[in-house]
Amino acid sequence: MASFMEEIRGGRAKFDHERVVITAGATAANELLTFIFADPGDALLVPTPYYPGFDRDLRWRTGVEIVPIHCQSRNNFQITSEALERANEDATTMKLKVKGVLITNPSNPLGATIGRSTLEMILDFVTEKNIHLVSDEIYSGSAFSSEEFVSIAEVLQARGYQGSERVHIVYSLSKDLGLPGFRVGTIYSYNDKVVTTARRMSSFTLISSQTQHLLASMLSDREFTRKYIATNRERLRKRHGKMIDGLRKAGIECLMGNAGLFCWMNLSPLLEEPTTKGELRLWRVLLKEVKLNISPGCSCHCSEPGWFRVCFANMSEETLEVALNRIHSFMNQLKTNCH
Amino acid sequence: MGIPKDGGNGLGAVLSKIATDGRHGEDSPYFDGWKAYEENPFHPAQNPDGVIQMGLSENGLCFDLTEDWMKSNPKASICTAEGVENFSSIANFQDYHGLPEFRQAIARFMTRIRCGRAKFDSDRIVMSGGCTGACETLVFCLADPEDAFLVPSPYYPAFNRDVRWRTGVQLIPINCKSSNNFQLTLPELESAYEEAVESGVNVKGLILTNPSNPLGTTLDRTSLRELLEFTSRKKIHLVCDEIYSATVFSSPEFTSVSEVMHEVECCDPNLVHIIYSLSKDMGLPGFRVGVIYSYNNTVVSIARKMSSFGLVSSQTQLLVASMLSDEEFVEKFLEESPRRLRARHRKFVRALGEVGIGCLQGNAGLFFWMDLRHFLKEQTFEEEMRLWRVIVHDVRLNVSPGSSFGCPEPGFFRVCFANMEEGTADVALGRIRAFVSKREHDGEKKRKWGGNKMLRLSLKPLRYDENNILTTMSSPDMMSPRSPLVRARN
Repeated sequence: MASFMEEIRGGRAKFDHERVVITAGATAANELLTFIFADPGDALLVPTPYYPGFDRDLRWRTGVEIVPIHCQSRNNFQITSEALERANEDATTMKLKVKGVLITNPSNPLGATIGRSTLEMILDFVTEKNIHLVSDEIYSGSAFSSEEFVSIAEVLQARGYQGSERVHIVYSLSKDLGLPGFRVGTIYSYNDKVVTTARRMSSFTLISSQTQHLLASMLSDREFTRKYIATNRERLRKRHGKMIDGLRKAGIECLMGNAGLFCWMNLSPLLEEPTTKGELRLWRVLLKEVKLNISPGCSCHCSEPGWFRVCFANMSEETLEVALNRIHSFMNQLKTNCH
Repeated sequence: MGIPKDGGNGLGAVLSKIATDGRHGEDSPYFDGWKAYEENPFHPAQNPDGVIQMGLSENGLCFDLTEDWMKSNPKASICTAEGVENFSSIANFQDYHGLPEFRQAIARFMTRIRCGRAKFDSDRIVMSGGCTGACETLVFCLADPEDAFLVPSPYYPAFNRDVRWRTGVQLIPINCKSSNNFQLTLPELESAYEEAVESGVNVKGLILTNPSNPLGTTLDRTSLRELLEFTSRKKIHLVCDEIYSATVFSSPEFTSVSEVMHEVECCDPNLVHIIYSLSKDMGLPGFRVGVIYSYNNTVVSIARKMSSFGLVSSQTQLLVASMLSDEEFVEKFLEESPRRLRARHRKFVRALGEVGIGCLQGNAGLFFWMDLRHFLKEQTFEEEMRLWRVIVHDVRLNVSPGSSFGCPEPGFFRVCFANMEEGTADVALGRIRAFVSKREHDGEKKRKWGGNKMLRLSLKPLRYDENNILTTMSSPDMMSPRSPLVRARN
């Protein structure tokens, strides 16, 4: 796992295998870290829009709250220091003790990487507040080009690992290798105590040794991993391009993405009313009439209605064509109805 | 690499109470045994004087059967030419219901172990990360922080972690007595329950391991019925850990809680739950195949959602489904495994008897409960620890002291016998004989189990302090098969 993580980052960051703690999927990893940082009633700051599973993974059994860091479309939903500070203040108002910030980089659902300067800013913020930073890098191998993805590990390395004891990376093979059924998650922590504690807690959620054995072989095959990572990036880039073109031809714009298995689509112009209600109404139409299952932004806690996450990597080329045709027809129909 | 920084001493971000309260149970003076083993592990050829691991409850007696099956069934693996066609569909399968064939195979297996005396419904099978995950998940479903579960003592030490650590639930031991072979009696249960309730504790249930770890015995039908009747009347949960159900090698026959439910009139099935795993019966601890089986539909539903935190690898689900669907293999395994366990158990117990060491009469499990009270200068836990250190360092056997199981009386040790080759077992027995003979030579007296000479006992049973923290913690070997000593770099 350590060497695979290095390869994904083009060797720009080093990983020590003694710091790798295995868990049954990133689901377990995120929950486990939350148990380690936060007591019931404490809070984690998470930028919106975020992966809906966090509501369960970070909050359910831990009793910890999520306080959103509201991001806006006007700057492509990037995390700003103002948004961070505001989220921190919101937590204080709600009398919640903030124990950490959790970012997903590349972002789900945005399908975009977080820039180096933003990462630096977030790192400075957590250092100043003396809280933890979890970087969920589950899509790191799904950035369309290696250079576009900057891991928090690289930022730390550049700083000589100063302040690294508060930083932890979550990873999994579910997305990059397309092996969600195998339940292969990891926590990589720069904090000895967290490694120790996480390893003890991992007893509740270990990876089947049968699967570990298979993956140890697979990931040790450098020729295979090199080829896989490169091919995966290329195919995702092409598929993404096809999706974007198809949507654009239908008159739909997406957030400029450079990673992930999905696009962040802007359907706000189609809303009857610029509200969650309007968004859900549109979502039901898309589901029932256009027969496409896509995720409404409100399920990702997006603060602006009308955005939808559309996955494109879980289907054949032919099926993608069908989907795009349906969208095309739907948009044409709307235009016709308007006239 | 210049990486590590420690987050302690107030430097860096703080950690939670759960991370720092020590309830993981691994901080223990008993690490000596593990350290001794890890530093000097026995190997018949390379290190014949090394420490023999007898503190690890693992079933290695039937690996040949499983290996033969694997060789004959390449399709069960997605890594073979025969099975690789399933690779992508299996690798992609993450439904928390699990593969239907997996659930069906597990349900059938559990039914078969009980010889059809109880039927298991595959729709009630919920996956978990081993029995460790099953226990914790079930407690999350049944209890809130500060609620309590009762457990008869001696008990599996990792319950301290599984039941309590992240859940915030308390574990209250019910001290059982050697005078009746440490069997939990109804009066003891009633009294423990009343005492807890009177002190303001919200008792949510009783957790039993049947067959028992560390005793290696099964609960008789009448007792099980009585306990179920009690929990039903008090409207508390009964959680039965039946992880050793297929290791029963002699009479009495195993009676599962699933078999007596219909015999208890006031039994409310919503309060009955079983946790299980393939780690012991099939000798597959690495595969992390845990099961929650609840008769409560809400629990099934919620536990299934929680199973997202500890699903069984789909690759392993497929393998297990194939293996356990092979009725011929299952029949052979369930016949042969107990036979081999019985032979190995007998070998040890007989040999120990010959040198005057008695054991609790066991009929199940991968271990026996050895009585070394007559070896203690005084009946204290300090003496037990002293004797334990002698056994680990001088006799070079890592066995588990009874106090690590919360045993209320000192002098008992759990000895695992199924995790070694026949040759190693012979070496272990040789060392025990030599040790006893040396003691005889040194003028020590010995006594058999149930002897009529009364000892002046100065018993110091384990107590819970007011924070409900055990004052001595568990042996290091029970948490996981690896050393729990985590080596994070400084």
